[in-house]
Amino acid sequence: MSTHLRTRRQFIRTSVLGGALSWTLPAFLDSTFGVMNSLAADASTAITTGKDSPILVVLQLAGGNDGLNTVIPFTNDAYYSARPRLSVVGKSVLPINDHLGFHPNLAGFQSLMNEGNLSVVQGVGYPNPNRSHFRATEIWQTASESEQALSTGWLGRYFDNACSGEDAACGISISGETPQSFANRTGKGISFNNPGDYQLKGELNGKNEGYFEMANAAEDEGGSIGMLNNSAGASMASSESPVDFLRRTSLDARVNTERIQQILKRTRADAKYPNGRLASNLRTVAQLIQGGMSTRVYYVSQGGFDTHNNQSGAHANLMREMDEALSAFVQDLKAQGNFDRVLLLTFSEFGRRVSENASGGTDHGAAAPMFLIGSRIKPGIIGAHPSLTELDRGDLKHHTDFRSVYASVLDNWLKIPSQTVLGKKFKPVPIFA
Amino acid sequence: MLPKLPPAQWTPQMAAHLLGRAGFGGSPEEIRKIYELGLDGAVRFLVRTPEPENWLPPPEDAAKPDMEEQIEMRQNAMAMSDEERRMAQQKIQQLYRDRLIALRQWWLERMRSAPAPLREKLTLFWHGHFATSIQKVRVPYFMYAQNQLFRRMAFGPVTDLTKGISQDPAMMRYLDLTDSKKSAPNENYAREVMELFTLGEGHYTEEDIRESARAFTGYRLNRDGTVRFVAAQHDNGPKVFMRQRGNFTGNDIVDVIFEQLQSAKFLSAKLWTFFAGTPPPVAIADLLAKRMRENRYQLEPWFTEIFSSREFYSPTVVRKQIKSPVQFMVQACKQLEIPLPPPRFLQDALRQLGQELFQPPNVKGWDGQYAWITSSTLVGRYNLAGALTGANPTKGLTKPQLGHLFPREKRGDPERILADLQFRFYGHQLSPKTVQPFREYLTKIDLENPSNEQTAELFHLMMSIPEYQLT
Repeated sequence: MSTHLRTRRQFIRTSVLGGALSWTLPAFLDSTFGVMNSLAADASTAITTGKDSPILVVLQLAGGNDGLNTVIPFTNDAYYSARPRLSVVGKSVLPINDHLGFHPNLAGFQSLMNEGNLSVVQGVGYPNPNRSHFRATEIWQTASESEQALSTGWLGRYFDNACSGEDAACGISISGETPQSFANRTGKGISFNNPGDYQLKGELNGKNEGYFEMANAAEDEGGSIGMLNNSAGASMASSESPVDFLRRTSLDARVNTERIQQILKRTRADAKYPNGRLASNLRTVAQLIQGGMSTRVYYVSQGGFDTHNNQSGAHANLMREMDEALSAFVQDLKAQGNFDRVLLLTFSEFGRRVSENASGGTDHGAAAPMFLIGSRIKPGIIGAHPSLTELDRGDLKHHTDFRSVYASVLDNWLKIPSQTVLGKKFKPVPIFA
Repeated sequence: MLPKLPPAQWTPQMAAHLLGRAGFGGSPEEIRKIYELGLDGAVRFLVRTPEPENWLPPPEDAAKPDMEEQIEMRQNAMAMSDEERRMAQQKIQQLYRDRLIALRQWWLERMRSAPAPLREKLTLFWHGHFATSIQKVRVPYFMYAQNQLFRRMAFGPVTDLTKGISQDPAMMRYLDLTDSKKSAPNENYAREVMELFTLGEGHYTEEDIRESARAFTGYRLNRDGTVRFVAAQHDNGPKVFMRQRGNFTGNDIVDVIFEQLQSAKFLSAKLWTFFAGTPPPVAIADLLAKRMRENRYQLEPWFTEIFSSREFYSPTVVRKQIKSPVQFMVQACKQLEIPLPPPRFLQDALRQLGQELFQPPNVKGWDGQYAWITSSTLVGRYNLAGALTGANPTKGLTKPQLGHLFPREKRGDPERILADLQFRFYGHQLSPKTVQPFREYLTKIDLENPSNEQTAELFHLMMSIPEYQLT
């Protein structure tokens, strides 16, 4: 059994009530709990101070978003000749300046930019781009070099360096699987899919709770055989046996189901969200922020961007879904008064080929734009649109390394020296005002 | 040869391990039968038993290539109003959903009741390997036809299976082969066939992808689910692929791929990992690949060797695999000796736990092992156990026969009950400390006359611990 798990258990035993109830109890009681146990004090401090800390929300556009049809160089002839069927005609794009415009379904993005709350970082990628979904996603999630394999994710390394205490909810992913970017060495991060199902039902949560707690806390078996855990879905990157991993997850579940259910019960959205998975996940994030979770990083994703065929309608729907969901999310955060605390960042594993293919779609490409939403960013277009004629095997060339964007977010938003997370210094991108 | 498991080490626990991995576990009675066959007999039984004739035929509707409703709609489309067309579309969508649910139920029932379940386990493996999703394929019949291809060719040769999948309607739709043509080849399939199906990332070049994409052009799908070759759409020109030059077709590309030693390494490691739960130790990885090549990707001899090997029964393998949601569901029903839950419950539960049959998350399939578990899927498993045991009564589910699982004649001896129940639920005995809460629970109830609720709750408790997630 790892020391880590044992301390976390002690934390649960002694302070779960103190920590979990800190938002419902009067402050003096909360601090009383803290004084009762130093470990608990550690955790409850994290919870109370967490309320003023900056929050990062990461939105993954899974499958490879077609950046070229998202931020459109609508006066460029090369764009129209590469995409006779897929180009979005100039008069329907939503202009950003005299040569770039948003996809017609990104009206909310246009407003956000006009209000000074959205910026587009152009031409983002990395040297020697990989065109496999899985490898490219891994590169973005771990912030590695193209040929380098890292076992921890960039957000996971942030958790390891910045999240003290035993609270695993430092990062929350609303997804069926834990994102690889969460992989870390200190057991941080929780994931859940449908918040409605995230609660233990029946008597194991009632009169038989004692047996259940005891049976889930047993810790003398199986922990000795360290097994290398390279699985993409696991959040613990160090060697941890399956049974240890399960015990830790069980513990995190027992602590967090209750506090999250309570928050979801007593908070509600301050904006009208559209239908769809992305919107409802963002609404959950907004509720958790409002409820005062100490979480520093939230992770959501939108799928379906792998548009090899009949891209036009599909991509337009994805754009609308993203635009409407994010607009509602921003409106909600503003109404809560929490917008100033939140930075949202999008990424996709790659952009798509400049030329359309025979199936009315596009194949895997390279460089693409990233979006940042927040009140303290420098709004507008950052960097030049990559050339449509000087290509790398048919793909756009990057001029900004994605790790430069991560570095700026780490240094200037999450306030942690970026080299502790990224291993070295990257040239910063001027994304903050 | 891999060193064999010494006969003295063949125990009921090892029989439970084998049946759990080569199948979906079993009741204590089923495990006892496997144990009594001895190691060689048990392996032969699992690998060699053919499927009984006409056993568990598919739901009739789902196994038909086209639907009357669709034919009718195509014929009448011109005469229909927009509203009529919309209604007809909706009806077809509903029929698709019904058929998908029926297919899922049918396949899970095959897993639950197969006399020799390895073929079904392999069918599940191939589904995750050549991952294809109904979300893009749309037509349940295509998923059914692919499923039968996996079942028929479960034991290989993998070369032929890969050729089959290259012209499988569901896969062709999923990875965009259906309109890939000479003038603009689609690279989607060409990439994944190497990256995910045969070689692994880093063992081919972008040039290999572009060249082989040309070879896979010209295959078209007929409405009845057959595939035709349209020569005019096929790029018959010379290609350079893996340093060989020729006027390759799709099948030629597959042959070249399987000439690479890497394909045997990749596939043997992936199969080992699926069945053993962890990647093969370095010491045996090359041997596993060599055996696969020697057997020309025919898997019966390969499985006979690994299921008989000492390595497969080592402490790094036994009870170190995290059950997939499908395994959890089927194995729990077998342990509790209950039928599968009704189709809709089954479908919802597996969605919540993260494994929807015919709907893997992407072309990489399910990552498995640690990736199955998040704090919410674990809670979902605990709740599912509550429903299956009857501890949390759920409409439509058959409750286990508690008197049979908790027999009256043994109730005088709590230790014996505990030992029996541990074998039933874990296939072995847990540490005394882990069992302690169950022991204490037994002291709190009237052992001679426990209420059904108390018994069900004991089972729920035993199934709601980290150790139960392992097989």
